[in-house]
Amino acid sequence: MEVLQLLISGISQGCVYGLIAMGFVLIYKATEMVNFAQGDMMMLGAYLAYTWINIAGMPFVLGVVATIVSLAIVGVLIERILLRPMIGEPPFAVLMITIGLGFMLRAFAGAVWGTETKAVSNPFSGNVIRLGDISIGYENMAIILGTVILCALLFAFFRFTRLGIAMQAASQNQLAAYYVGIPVKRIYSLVWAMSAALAAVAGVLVAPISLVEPVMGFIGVKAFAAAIVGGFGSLPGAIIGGLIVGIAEQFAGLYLPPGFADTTAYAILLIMLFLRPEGLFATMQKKKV
Amino acid sequence: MSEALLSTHSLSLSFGGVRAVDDVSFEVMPGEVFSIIGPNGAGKTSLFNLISRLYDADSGDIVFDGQKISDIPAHRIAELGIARTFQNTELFEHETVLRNMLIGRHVHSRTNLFSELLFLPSVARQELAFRQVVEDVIDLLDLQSYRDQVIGSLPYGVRKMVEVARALCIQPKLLLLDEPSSGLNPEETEDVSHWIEDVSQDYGATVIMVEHDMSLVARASSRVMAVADGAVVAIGAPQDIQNHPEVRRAYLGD
Repeated sequence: MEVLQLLISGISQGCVYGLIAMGFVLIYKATEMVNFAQGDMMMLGAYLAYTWINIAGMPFVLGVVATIVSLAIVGVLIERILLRPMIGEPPFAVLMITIGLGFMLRAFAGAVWGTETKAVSNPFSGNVIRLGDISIGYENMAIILGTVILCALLFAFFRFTRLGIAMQAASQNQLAAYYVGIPVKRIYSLVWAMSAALAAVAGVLVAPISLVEPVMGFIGVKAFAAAIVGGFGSLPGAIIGGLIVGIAEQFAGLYLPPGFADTTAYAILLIMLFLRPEGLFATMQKKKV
Repeated sequence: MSEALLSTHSLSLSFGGVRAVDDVSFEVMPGEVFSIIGPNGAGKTSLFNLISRLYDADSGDIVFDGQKISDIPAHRIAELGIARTFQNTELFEHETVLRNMLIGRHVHSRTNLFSELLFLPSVARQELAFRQVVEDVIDLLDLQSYRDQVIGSLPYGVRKMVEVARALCIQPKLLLLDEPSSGLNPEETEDVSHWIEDVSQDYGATVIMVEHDMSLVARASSRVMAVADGAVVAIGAPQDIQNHPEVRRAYLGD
């Protein structure tokens, strides 16, 4: 029973990694930029949820919608102001910008909301479902269900909608995309908006099980490892990678000496890079000359 | 005389101190196959990239179908009816031939996000109509056997055809071909002149191409423009251009 219990908390933690990892992957696939501030975007999402729900007094669902919309706008602004001028610059410069952005977001959150931890009111906390000997917290159920719904929506979006297909086209070949009539720059803004919206959902879902504080975005580093395990170009890979890291972490916490749980993500990453450097769902191809 | 489909007026473009395109004016009539020739570095591709809006001109205008297009963004020319191909092909490498062609219909899509997510009957009808257009192009260019193959696995000559096919799926009034014969063997180059004829006659598309192969130019085009050092040297019928003293000097030196 203990194993099952661990598995469930591992899945719910893995979903959080997966949601952040999908944010990495979305932006990387479309623009070939790595947004190291993705975890901090999630942190900002949690604070925005706190602002809309606890300070502005919005009902939970409305507050979640407001969080998603406002963080999506922040995402578009970041793309327009910080990253669009960097088109054509070396990837390393872009990387430094997003790392700097992460510092700025953490400092901003500390300055605006203070450094002591906050809690977002939510309808999940304290409720538990019991299935035999296993108990699942509502907040964990919410994370798992939320992730499943989001994945289904993303799948349908990329598979069936014109916009989703335009996004794939823009990420595969910009020039070709222009000449079949796809406004590539507008698509880039949209990708940032989507990735920010994903971060917002992750922030809202993670707030009940974690403390809302400026450094909560550091789990983005583990999510980054998850994204690489998954193949870094694949959305399903990001979720699978997240689940692997999340579940392994829980079991390491129980069976290995204290302290090992936190290094699990990186251990898996190392093993993965040794055995299959292209990740589980390899989409990246070696560039042909 | 009918109205020109495309005309440029005193078009100029410099890269630093180099005048890549220098005061170029020409007109292309509907139904023509108009070739642009010139030695390497003469500014042919720059001119092409100006027309397809990849570059912004320093001065001068481009008018297409009665509309000034010199300041519209590149992604809008497809809906106006201009399609182009690239010298080294720009395709969606990880997708099949069919999907590469279907996305050529993108600009003609009239459905919205919600009807697409629910796959309403209007979306299904549109898909069918798109597929019909694509199949017609496949028949025209003999691509049947490659329909479901992924681009990355295809030989170069076929990829070039797929790019033309995708351009035709836009159902353009004007087709811009950037060196359609580059990288092809003599046999394949021979085919190029045949499908250009098909495209021009069956599809009624006007063609402007940049091309090096003079025999292809002579066979396929109705008129030829020779450029050198960014400027127009001569415009006329293929045989006149080939024998034009200024053109010979541009190619062979003094």
